Amino acid sequence: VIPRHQQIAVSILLFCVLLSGIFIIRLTHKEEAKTLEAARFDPVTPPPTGKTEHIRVLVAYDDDRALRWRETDAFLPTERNLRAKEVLRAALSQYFQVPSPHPLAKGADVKDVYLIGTDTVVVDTTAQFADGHPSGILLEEMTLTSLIETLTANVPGIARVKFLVDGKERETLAGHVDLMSFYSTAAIHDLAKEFE
Amino acid sequence: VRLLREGDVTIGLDRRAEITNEQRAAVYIALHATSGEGVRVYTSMVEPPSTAAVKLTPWENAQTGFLASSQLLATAVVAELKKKKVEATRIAAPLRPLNNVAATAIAVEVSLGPKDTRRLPEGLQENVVSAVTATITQAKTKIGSQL
Repeated sequence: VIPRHQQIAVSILLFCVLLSGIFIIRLTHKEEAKTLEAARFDPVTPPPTGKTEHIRVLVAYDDDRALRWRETDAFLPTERNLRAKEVLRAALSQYFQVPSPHPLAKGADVKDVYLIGTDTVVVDTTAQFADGHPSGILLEEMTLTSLIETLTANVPGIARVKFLVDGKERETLAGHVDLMSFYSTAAIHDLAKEFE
Repeated sequence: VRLLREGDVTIGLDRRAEITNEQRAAVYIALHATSGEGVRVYTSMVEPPSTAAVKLTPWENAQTGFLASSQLLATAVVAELKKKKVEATRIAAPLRPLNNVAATAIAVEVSLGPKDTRRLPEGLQENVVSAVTATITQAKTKIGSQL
């Protein structure tokens, strides 16, 4: 026979377990409701509008010390700065193919593109783009020429381009070619002809 | 002849141009070695200052007044290298600190060959040095009295 005081103690314990279970379930529901409520007021960015286009990219070939046009498909948003970013990324993607015609460091990418007025573009690249870039006047010059020419071929009206590395100015790409100046796209167009 | 660096020390790009301009050098020659093949002789891609009425030369455009003589020298060095059967080309480049040098200025990039052995191919160093020095001597009259 179970003594009476033990029966009372077990009953109280079971009641406490039941009570805390109900409390936990209510607390969980309350938190879920709060999260849903907060999510309803989060600003939602609409997906960029645009379409897949057939574009031309100027690709550097180290072995031939030449730049040649290639054709590729890329999804290009209608917003001009996003379009510029995707065009540059399409050019960079050529260098991650195997075998690469002009190897770049893993993680070399375009973070953002800013438009100043209608004709000036500032390109912010990842740190790896510059930190891991092979050093050499020709190699550095071919990279910048490839990117600027691809940009102007697919985003009309750009007259000047400047590069940043991880949001900051840097003296050179990999020890030689200038990153402080704004590049004239007309001058780069003339330079590109020398490599064709 | 003054060497900007006589050892493995780092001198900032602006400082290299400052030293050259302070010395009132006649010719600035930057020598580079890299992988690949051949020799490339570079001149600045400097653009003229945006305002025509600038009385002081802007630092970024210091090379503007010397660009013609730099191009002449580069062309002559390439021709001299070709005489020595060295594959050479002349290209413009947005290369620092050429834009900031107030003197005839070129950069010579010598390739170490397809397999980067960290040593110049035999005879190339002598050919490059003799081509550059011979050209400076010969071009003196063509480029002007400053040489």
